Order: sequence, then structure tokens, then C-alpha cells
Amino acid sequence: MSPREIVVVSGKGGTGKTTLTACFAALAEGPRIMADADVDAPNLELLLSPRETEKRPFFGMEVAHVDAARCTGCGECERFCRFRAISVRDGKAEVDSGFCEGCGGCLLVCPEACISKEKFQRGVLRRGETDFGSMWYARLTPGGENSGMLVALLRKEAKREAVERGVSLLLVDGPPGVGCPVISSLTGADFAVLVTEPSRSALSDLRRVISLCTMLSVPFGIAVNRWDLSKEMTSAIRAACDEEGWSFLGAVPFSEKTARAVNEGRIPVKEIGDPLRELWRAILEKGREH
Amino acid sequence: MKIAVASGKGGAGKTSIAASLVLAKRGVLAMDLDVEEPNLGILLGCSPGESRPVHQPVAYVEPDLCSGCGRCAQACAYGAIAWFGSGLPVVNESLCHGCGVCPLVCPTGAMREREKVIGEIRSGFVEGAPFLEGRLEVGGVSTVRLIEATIQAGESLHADDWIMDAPPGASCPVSAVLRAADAAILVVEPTPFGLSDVAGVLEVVADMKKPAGIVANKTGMGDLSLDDLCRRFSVEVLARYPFTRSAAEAGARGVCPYRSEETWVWKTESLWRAIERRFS
Repeated sequence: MSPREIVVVSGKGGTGKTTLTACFAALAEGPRIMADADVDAPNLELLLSPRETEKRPFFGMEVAHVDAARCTGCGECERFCRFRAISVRDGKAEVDSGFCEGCGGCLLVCPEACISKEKFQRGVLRRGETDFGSMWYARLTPGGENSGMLVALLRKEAKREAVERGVSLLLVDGPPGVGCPVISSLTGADFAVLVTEPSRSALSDLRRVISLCTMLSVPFGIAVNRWDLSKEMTSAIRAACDEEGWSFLGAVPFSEKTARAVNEGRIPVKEIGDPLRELWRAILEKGREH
Repeated sequence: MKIAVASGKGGAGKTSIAASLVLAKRGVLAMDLDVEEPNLGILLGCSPGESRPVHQPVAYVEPDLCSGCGRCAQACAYGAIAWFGSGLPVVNESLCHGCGVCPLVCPTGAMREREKVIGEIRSGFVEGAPFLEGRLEVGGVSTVRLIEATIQAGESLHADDWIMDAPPGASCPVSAVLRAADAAILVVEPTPFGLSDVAGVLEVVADMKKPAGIVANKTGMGDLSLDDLCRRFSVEVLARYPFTRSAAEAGARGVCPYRSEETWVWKTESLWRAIERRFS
């Protein structure tokens, strides 16, 4: 049986996705598997402290490689490349592998046939054991491409393990934004928890991530973190939920105790207390409706 | 001087610091390059002015010219062209990167390209200075292309000083912003998450050999030492902004703390002095 996959995203960064995902991991009952899909800036491991059991290199798309000895510096490759990933410097073509999308156009236009494709390690994929179950996590090499591909691989591995071991819940901590890694995190998920905060910026970002969920047909619900930092904006978010028919899952207050716990590497389940339990219960209920 | 404001971690205060730097100096070009979730305009109180669409090429087949040879499908690195051994190939637009390889290999000129909208560039003014914002079409993945188009639009404005609000993370969108910068300001929350995430961006900055400085934000909320980080990457802390509930509340209302907190005004003025001393 396929596990129920719940993905936590936010649009805006820094709203508390990772902290809440760690809390959900601690609160859930029954076997569960966790995954950190924010491969650019992975933090879930700082709270769940996995003991590594497996580590694999991640290879992204093949990228162009120039044989400098044969390059005449003619610049045909540079003129063709639409990603500004290859340019002639000091008479030789040089590839910026962080920008190369591996289309292979430069290989085709090079009159000296001195460009080839090469596989590069673009990151690492890991599996570990936490106090609450196993966890899949990854790290993209800084400056790199293909975060969407790494996210897809990470989710696939976590899901495979869940299916093999009959684990019914998969909890995924997602990346910020609405671009390629977020699309890769949400596609095919069973439910998205959208963690927002009461600010005009966060509400603007929330609307964009909701459009994305709708486009990808992923059911979602909204949780407001640090709701008491602006009661006015929290009311505005609740009003938007009523008006647009978005499901409101719950709200968590701001507390310095919570911040301190996270800074000490502790999961703030006790510090947040009842609002957290109510939020998790709402997620399970809403998730079941879909 | 073109300055990128980045952080790795989202919510560290990039946009608040970027907006403060814009408000503290006359004639600075403000650019929001967090094109997936642009918010600089909200904090600057910039009313949206003009908007123009940004396009990217996508491939299509001119059926009358196609001989059904399948070379386009073989050459496509993204699996965006389906071809079943004979007949017309079919392009999946959402997978097409607009790289231009299929028109190059097509022997009959049947593979062509048309322009698809990937987002928009909004422009306006903040207290008389120019403002540009890239805004990605939701559902699209051309983040880097839109960032580059927005930077190009900035070039035509001939401003001496730029403040570029970068996206979170440490991958290609951030690199695209750093590539255009003369120097980088890295906003760090002195917490375990903040320190861990900024290290990735500092690696990219070091690879590109760009000068960089640190701004510690929300000090007091986290008080981890930045000494090791500064030593490891040979950077200095240029300013420290304390966490205050009132600054957080102002930010929530969409008000840049520079406009509501006296501390932010003199901290930002001294940050500009540090930037000029350190980078010019």
C-alpha cells in the first residue's frame, strides 16, 4: 500500500516549516518516515539528529566539458549557448557548470569537436535513523543546478522504503518558493500543509503557493505560525480562508521558549503544547477527507 | 556598486535589510530578484507601475515541413520531444528548456520556436529612485532566466548603486544574482539553522571570488558566535540588528523597520559606511 504523503511548504521562507515538521514527526503515532526536501538549505537534520545508515553521491544532468588543449577560442559555443554557461576567457572556452543545462548544443556547433559531456557529482543523498523512524535527507552542492531532480529522487527513495516496510505515513519538509524544487516536492503528494505567518509578505507568497497546489491538484490546508505577532494579519488570513474556501488548520503562537528550544536543537513539542496537538489533529482529519 | 543581499535561510531578514539599504541612500536602484516570491515592493511601499512580460523560446513543429526523421527527439536532452519511430514528433512544452538544439539539428527547418511567457518585470519608483521586480509565472521553472532578464533590464537604467534582493537557498537562482554582483551582503540569523544555511552561500561567494560581508540579524533571538564562520570564509560582521518585537510587528504590517525603528536608521547608515569602506 502507498503511504499517505504529507508535504510541508510555505512560499515564504522562515515561517517555521522545519520546526513544525519536526514537531509532527514527534507527535505522529505509528510508523512514519521523514524526508527533508529543502536540499538547498537542509535543516530538519538539526532537529531530528539522524544517525546515518547510508550515503550515496547524486549525479545531475551531464554538463559540457571543454578539452582546452584543442580549443581554438573561436566562440561558436558561446554564441550558441542560451544559458550563458560557456564563454571564452583568455582564448579558451570555459564552462560554468552551475549554469550548464546539459542541452549539448555547444558539442554540435564546435568546429574542433573538442567539447564532450561529463557527469558531475551535484550532491549527496543520505538515509538515517531518528528517534521517530527513518529519515531521508540530501544536500545539493552549493551553487548547483538540478535541485528538482534531487528532490524527486529523495521522495522516490523515501516512498520506496515506506512501501517495502508497510509504513503508512511519509512526512516531507519542503523548500521555500514556488519554483522547480517546490514543484518537484508537491507533485503527486496527498496533502500539503502550508505554513504561513501573519505578514503581508507571507500572505502574498501564500497565494502563489496555493495557485501552485491548485494547478498540481494537491489538496492543502493552512497553518498560521506566530499568529499573535499580528492579530490583524491573522484575522486577514482567516478572512481570506473563509472567502476563498481554503481550509484553515490551526494557529501556533509566538514564544521565546520555542525559539530557544530550537536554538538548542530540541523539538519544541512541550513548549508549543496544545495548539500544536490541535493543529496535528486537524491535519490528520483534513488529510483523511481527501 | 552592485550589491547582492542573500542569506541561504529564508526569513533571515534579507528583504528587510535590502529595503533599509535602499531607503538609506538616495538614487539606489532597488531590484527584487526573489522572483518566486517577490516581497521587496511590499516593504518599500512601492506602488506597482508598469509591467512587461518576459518570454522564453519553446519548440514547435511545422507539420508541412517535417519529414519525420526523428533527429529532434534524439537530440533533445530533456526528453521533451516524443517521436514514435515515424510521423510527426510531439513537443511537451513544460519539459522544453528552449535551448535551441532541435532547430539546429532539424534538416528541413520544421522545428521552430515561439515565445512563451515565463513571468513579468514590474517597474516603479521608491522615493524617486527606480525599482524593478521579477515575478515568475506560477507553475513555471524558468527562475534563472527571469532573474537574468530582470538584471538586464536593470543595466539599461544606468544607476551607480544597486541593491539586489536575492532568493533563499544556495543553488542556481542565487548564483545568477551573485554573478551580477560586485559584492555580497549575507544576512545571518545567529541560530543553528541560520549558520548552517549561510555557509552554502558563502561557498558560492568564495568560488566566485566576490567580496562579502555579514549582517547579523535578530541578535538576541539566537546568540551563536559568528567567529568561526568569519574565520573560515575570511569575512567580517559589518552590522548587527537586534531582534525586537516592534520591528517584527512592523514587518508583519508590511512596514520596513527602517521607517518605524530609530535603531534601524542609524544601524543602516553605519552599514552603508562599512560597505563603502570595505568594498570600494
